[in-house]
Amino acid sequence: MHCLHSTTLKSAFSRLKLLPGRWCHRLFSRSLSSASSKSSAWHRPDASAAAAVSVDEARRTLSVTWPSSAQDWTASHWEAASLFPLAWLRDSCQCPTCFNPATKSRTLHFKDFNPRVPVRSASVSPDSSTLTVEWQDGHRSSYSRQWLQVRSFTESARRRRGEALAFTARKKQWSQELTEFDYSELMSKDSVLLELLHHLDCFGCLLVRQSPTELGTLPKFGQRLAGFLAPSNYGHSFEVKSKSDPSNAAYTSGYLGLHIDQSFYSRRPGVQILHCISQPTDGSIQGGESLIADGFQAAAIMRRSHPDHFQALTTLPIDFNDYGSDFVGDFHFINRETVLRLNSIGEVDRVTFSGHSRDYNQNHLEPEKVQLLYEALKIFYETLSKPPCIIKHKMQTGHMQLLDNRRVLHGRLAFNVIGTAERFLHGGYVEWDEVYSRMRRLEEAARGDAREAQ
Amino acid sequence: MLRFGHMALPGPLKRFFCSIANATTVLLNPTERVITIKNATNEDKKMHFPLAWLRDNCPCPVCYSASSELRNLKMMDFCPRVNAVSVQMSEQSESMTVSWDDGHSSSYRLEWLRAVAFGADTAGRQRPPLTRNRPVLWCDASKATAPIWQPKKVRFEHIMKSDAELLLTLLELEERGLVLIEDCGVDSEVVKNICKRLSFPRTTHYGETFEMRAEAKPRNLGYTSDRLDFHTDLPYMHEQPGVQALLCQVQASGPGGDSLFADGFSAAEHIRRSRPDLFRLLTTVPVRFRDRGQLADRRFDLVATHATIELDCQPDGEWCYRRVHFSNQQRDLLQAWPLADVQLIYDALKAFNDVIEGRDISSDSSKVQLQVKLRSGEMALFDNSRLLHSRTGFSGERQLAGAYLLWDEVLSRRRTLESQLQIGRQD
Repeated sequence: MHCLHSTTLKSAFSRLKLLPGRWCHRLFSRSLSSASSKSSAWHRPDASAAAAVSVDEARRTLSVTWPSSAQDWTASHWEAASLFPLAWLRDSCQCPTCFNPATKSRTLHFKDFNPRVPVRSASVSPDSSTLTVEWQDGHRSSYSRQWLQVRSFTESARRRRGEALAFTARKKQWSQELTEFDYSELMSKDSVLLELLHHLDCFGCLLVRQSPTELGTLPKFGQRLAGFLAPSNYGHSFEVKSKSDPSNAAYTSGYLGLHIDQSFYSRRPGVQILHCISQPTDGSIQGGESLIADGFQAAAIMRRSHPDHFQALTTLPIDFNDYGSDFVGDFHFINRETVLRLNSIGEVDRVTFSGHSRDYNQNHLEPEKVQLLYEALKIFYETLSKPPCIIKHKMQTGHMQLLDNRRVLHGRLAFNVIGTAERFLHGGYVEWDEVYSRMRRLEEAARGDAREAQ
Repeated sequence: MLRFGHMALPGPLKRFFCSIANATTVLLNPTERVITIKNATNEDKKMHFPLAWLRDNCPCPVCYSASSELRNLKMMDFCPRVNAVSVQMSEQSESMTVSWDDGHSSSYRLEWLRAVAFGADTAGRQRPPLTRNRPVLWCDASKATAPIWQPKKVRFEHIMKSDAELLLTLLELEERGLVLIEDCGVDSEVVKNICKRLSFPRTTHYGETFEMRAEAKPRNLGYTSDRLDFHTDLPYMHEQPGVQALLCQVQASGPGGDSLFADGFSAAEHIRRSRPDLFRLLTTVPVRFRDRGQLADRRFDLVATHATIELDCQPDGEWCYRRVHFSNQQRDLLQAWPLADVQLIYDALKAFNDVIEGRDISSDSSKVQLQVKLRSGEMALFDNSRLLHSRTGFSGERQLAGAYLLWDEVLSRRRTLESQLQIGRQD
């Protein structure tokens, strides 16, 4: 049983005063060899060698060198030397005065925090399990080895953490067929729900089939996904069928061009859910196919094929507006934004586009730029409208279509209703913040422990 | 007052435009693809119209829907290289007609064209007050002793009943970021009513409205009776609701329980002038915020990353302050900061906090904070993307109720009020 500390066994025997010291040793060796022949499968880190700590006040860093025998094989990564900024160590003190473990939030008041507080002393326990730092202000902080290993500031640790912290999936190109999920499986199995949410994040669109056709299905589904349906200026949810006095283009039976919903909002809903309560497949609804197009894919294609036009879409802002009267009373929204938004590393992270909501006012642009912008809009639209960017499908009664409203544009072909047939879609939104929150907690529950979701 | 679509100007303005329309000439430049209208008596006042833009915005019933005030012309039917075959002005120079090589013909009223013309002075133009009124800082860092600004107080009954009073309140909110509303009553329904007067309360994982009071098992420091750090709410959301309504239902009977508000933009400006190196860090370094917990049977874990001070940058280099994200409590332990930068990042965060706390007082002008003890029934309506707020410690019972709104919707309400009350130009 070489997992047990050799001196522990030895001192245990000595304490029992069964045998004098050197006999203990012989007995211990014999018991060791006999134990190894029985060989237990379980191991624990053996940190018999001491860790070494050094503080660099000039650089304001602290480094710990861990003995290799203390290596934790259960951890996915291990580094021999960890590195920490002193300001961060003080800021991240885990004692009850400074930190609340239930909410994982800092309780140390910022006004009492000195980011330059020097270290009075720093040491690691003999078993290398705990680093203790005594600060000049009299405070004392303790950090466990596992905790430190996970949060180290070495380049390799940061790179690993960066990948984990990125959380949101790398966006992937979709195939020409929509992936389908089953409604009742989604409502009953957390694993299937998590799979759907990951798929939505990665690919931006999917279909749910076999959902009930009652009007209350959508709010229940939204609650399952993200806690609540997020209302908009059109209400807690919206109905799409022909209206006699249209206040919005979607309510007619005409062709609806590809667009991002609520382009006239700067803070707009993240996920659109369309529940098909009724669209009979007996030929009584002619047309009405749904169009969905991958804005990120179209942007990537344009970046290569028409770089100047791509640049126009990322630099020339357009005003989008909506004017009318609905759930919130009279409204008049204006949002000025570029069609393609780039994040800090040059990736397209949001698309804003709507033919009908694009305002006529453009004189904030120089006239020479206007021609380029219009060509760019046209090229973008044409790219969106053909494979590999477009999917055309016809929603059937019981289908639910989910779209990432940051990335996927949607439209609809004109439709004709024959006789008394009804085309009725019920729509609503959920927020990505809440979707990601749900994903984090589901993943944590799936891992079966309370280890911090990274 | 000009409106979207093609409606008439009110009387006095109409006379002004007609009088200078007589000697108007129009030129088509097919190479540049621009039509230029100029006035013989005023050579400098040239108006330019790109051909693609003119075709895109044809006002005829086929291309434009007057009932929904939206473009009908589909992108798939639009050719950005369409050519103008001819262009002419009507006899009285009241309208311009363009014939296109796709067979279409478009007529534009000159008064409308004047409002939307491309000119030497329109490039880069923002559209305040139509889009957003510029914020006015609470204190001017360049002045030696500038008096701290005092918030406007309005009565609840007035803003619920009077559109004009509501409009003035919203304009003040846009410019200064804070308004105090008196005599609201103490029912938490009041918070919902204020929100509904504007649009509707924005549900978060804390509910449609939330209540703040000291609790035996506080879920965060807000639910204690302690003094709080200055912070903005909901920084752990990618786009947090920008407006907050906070009603004092029960105020502490003893000392303390004062509400503190600080102008994040004034603080940012002060740091920019005094420590540009730290300002650079505050505008570029991403800070990860997190809110993790459980409410009833719902577990949540929201994460978002923002720079502390967010700027709105134009391609031509012009910029203004857009948002502030700051919360010591919800700043996550895990950050993606390179080791070598960490100390300075903390120095920058601390320096920002010192300015807000009024510790970095080189002169009175750097005091960006104001303190007010809300009475029961008094509500603060403030810009959560600009102001930081906190409170002093207290003893005894104290309870607040609050809700959030989106700036998109508050601005929409301001615009429709202006339109109803016929105040201000619409572009």
